[in-house]
Amino acid sequence: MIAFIIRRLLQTVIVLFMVTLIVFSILQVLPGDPARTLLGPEASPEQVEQIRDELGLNRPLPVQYITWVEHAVQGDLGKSIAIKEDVTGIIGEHLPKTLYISILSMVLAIVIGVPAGIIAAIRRGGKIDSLISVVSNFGMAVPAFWLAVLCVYFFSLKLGWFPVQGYTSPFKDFWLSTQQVIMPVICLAFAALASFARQTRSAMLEVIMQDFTRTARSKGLKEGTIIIKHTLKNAIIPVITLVGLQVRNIVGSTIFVEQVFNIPGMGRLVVQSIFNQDFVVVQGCVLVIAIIVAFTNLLIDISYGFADPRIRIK
Amino acid sequence: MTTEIIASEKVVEQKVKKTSNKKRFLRVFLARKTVVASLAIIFIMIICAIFAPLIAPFDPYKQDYTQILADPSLAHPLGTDLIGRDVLSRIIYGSQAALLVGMVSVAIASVIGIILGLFSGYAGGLIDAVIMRAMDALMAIPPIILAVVFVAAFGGGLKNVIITLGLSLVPTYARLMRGQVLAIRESDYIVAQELMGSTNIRNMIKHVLPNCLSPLIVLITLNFGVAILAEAGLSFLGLGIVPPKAAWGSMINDGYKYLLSNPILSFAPGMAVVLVVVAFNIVGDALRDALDPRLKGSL
Repeated sequence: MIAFIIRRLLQTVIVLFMVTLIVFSILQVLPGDPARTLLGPEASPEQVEQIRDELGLNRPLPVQYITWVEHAVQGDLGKSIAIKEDVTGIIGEHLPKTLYISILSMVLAIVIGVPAGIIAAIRRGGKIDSLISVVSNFGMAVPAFWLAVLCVYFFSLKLGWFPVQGYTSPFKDFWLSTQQVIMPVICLAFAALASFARQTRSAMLEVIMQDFTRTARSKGLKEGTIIIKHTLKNAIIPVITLVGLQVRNIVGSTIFVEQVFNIPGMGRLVVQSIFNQDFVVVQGCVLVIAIIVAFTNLLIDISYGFADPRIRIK
Repeated sequence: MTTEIIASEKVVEQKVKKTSNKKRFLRVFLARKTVVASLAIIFIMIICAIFAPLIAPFDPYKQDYTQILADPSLAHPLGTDLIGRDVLSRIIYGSQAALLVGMVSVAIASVIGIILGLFSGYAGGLIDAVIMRAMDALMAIPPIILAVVFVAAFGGGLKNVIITLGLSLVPTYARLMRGQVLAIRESDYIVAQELMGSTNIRNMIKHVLPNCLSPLIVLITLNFGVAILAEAGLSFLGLGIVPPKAAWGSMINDGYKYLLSNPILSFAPGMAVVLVVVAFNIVGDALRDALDPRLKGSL
């Protein structure tokens, strides 16, 4: 098991190294000269040149890359061009909001999606199954931002249940924060919830068809025991895999949901920084997001090894 | 209750064996009404995209300042937008961008992904490790964020959106193909081929590819929906199709400002996205069921 964890850890480090390469090379192509953006249109070419020197932009690319990684490892992601603050600080301010709504969405998606899938599999072909299948088909096709627009229209503008937009820290005003967070969380969770329901259903069906389920049934075990102890335990592995994929999708969708609900999180930061041509911030954000996704996947793979002995031996 | 289902499936299984493969495929594929309806939606979308100038009641770019933010009427079934353009016509024209992005980006992704996956699976060793870790790295960045950054780097517009989405969809194909190659190359008939002296490249193309076809077809169909959703997302953020060209995503965003007075401006294009994506997803699932030999054609 330890060998398995170490191997996966090494793999994650290599993946992150590749991520830094990808992020660094994409951002070399971003339009706009950071020195020019920093100084404004009136600066003379000499001034621009001087700032370029100070920022290290005139050094060869490999040197720039190594310096960037060196600083990044120490937690220094550079200075923002537009806001002139430390990127690490800016991200530290925005990240908790995104994490808060993302984690809530993930929990919501699992708590509703997995049981829904189990029920659909048990009642296969019945009315509940078809209802769940319609909802999950819809859920996987509806763009998060459009769902957000619909929610704003019906629940805020028409019914007045929730505020249209905004974000408050749950530590400052828990009641207001919860009201503001409900719609974004539902919008983020919906697609993931649909995937969980579908994946659980098909995994359960696959296991239900297998011999050991029949054996359990012929032994005269109760239906509930069979589902929980025999079927679910085997069906849960593909569902765990899905968590990794959905982390990616939920974090990705924050880019839209934060935009519609005006939540100052990572997603909005990325979009704003792109419009501000603030490439240092974009670079930092993408790196931090990739690290979070990579490490969640690492954790999932390890838990996967615990759940299924076959995996850690391979 | 479940035993009954299993029993009835056995009966279906026996019946199916007697009919030919092609017939069985069609029977399972078209068994559900939702699949037929989905095919119809996709067909209508393709017709709309190709014959947009003939179908659309108005010019999608024509601004009519006497008809600003008009409510739905007989002349404008879905009303008009903030500069008096007909919403229905713009939705019909929007299908062009969606269809083009879906088709071309999935084509790019599948071709590059298939080549990388075949190569990686067959070569093994260091090449395999490098390619797959690079794919892992691409997969560690959420596709939509990757796409946003790509578009920011290379600029928006139809061409770049297509390339961007094509590239961000590559890893799924590479992984799928590699897995399939690894599974198939162990099989006796490939080993036999190698013993008979056929070269690696010929082996890959001639024997491995046809065997991976079913999961590929399913993935390609499902990815149409993914690409259309992503295009709508990019356009919604203002990083996709450049206005005034009609795109569903940017129409949703434009309409958002008038949500209270004219909700249909946002609702209608969103509905178009949902319908088309649902249709591709349902067809993809039906293909999976029909092509899966283990299900033997039963639903």
